[in-house]
Amino acid sequence: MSTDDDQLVEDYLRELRNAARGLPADRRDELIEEITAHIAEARQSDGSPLAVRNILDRLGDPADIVRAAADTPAGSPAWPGAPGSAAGHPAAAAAPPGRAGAGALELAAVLFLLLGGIVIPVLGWFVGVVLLWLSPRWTAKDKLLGTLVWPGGLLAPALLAAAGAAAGLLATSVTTCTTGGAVVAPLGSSQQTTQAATHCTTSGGIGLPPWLVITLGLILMILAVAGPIWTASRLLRRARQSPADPVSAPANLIPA
Amino acid sequence: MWRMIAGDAGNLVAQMRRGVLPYCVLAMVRDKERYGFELVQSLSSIDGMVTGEGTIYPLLARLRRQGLVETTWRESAAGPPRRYYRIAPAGREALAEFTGSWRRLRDSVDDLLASSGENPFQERPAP
Repeated sequence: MSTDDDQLVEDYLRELRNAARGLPADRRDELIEEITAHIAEARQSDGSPLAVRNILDRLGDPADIVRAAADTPAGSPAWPGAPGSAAGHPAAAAAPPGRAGAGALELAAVLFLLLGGIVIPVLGWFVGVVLLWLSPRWTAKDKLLGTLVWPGGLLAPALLAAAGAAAGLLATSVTTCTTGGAVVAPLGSSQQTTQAATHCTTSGGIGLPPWLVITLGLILMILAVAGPIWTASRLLRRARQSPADPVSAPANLIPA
Repeated sequence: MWRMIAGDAGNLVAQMRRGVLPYCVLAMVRDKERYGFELVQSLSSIDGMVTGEGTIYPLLARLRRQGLVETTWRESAAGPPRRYYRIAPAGREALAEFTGSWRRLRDSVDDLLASSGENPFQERPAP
């Protein structure tokens, strides 16, 4: 074992330490320890002149090793209920393996997008958008879709239901419709809605027949509710499939 | 998302390997505990299974964090103590599930590939 060899190993380990700076301390120390042990073990079993160079070549680029170590962010479980970073905890035995879930970040993003705007008016939805764009699990297209369909999430239909959707259509010309439309809110009661719409037409408005007002209101309501829900389910599905490796979907268990 | 381009086949195979590698490790420690270096050597001797031996160690660490393998330190006759890996109950469960899925998928694909010989658009060998 020449000093040249020692120097090669030294350089390799330094490069590895540098590359691993971003890893959590325990994980970094363990990785460096393992690689050091590997090199020592390999040198013991192969004392040929080319051995060290060969050993290091086979180990691969330190950056690749660190990348493999960093793939799963610290603390993010491999599946819902997995023991996160709790090393070898027996609780894992009970966890259903083989299914990777959307992480906590993704779940929070979707919830805030859908309901955040209602819980914390408007602002909550913005929180959802920030979380959405922070997650590495979605493509730019997914994120754009999540942002645009529909801004505010379910806030809009909630408001529509509260303030009267159909009336909103006429509100430009008829003030009475705002109050009339409020009755449209409980979608079940057709009697009341007819009444409300009638009220609208009699008071002038822009002359839209009541059935049209009701139909438009209904369509608007359906679009307002179905849009965000469809987007949310799509986002969740994509988050479950994705972490950067579509082929290994069942192997998300342990993405290497 | 996946376009079938000839050049992509290599990439696809690499991804498939990467996907099954954790289960191969689980299978290797199912009946017998092994230490890291030993595992890396065995895996590397399987053609094309591993590209960078160094990446096995993060994989082993992850399997441990996920509770799929357990580890113990043991003295070695020569040199520093070694970390030995053996399968944990959760790992056994994951491996059993994978084994089932793998066999089903393999059989289906094999059948499909074999029956493609009956494709009317393909030239058939003379009887």
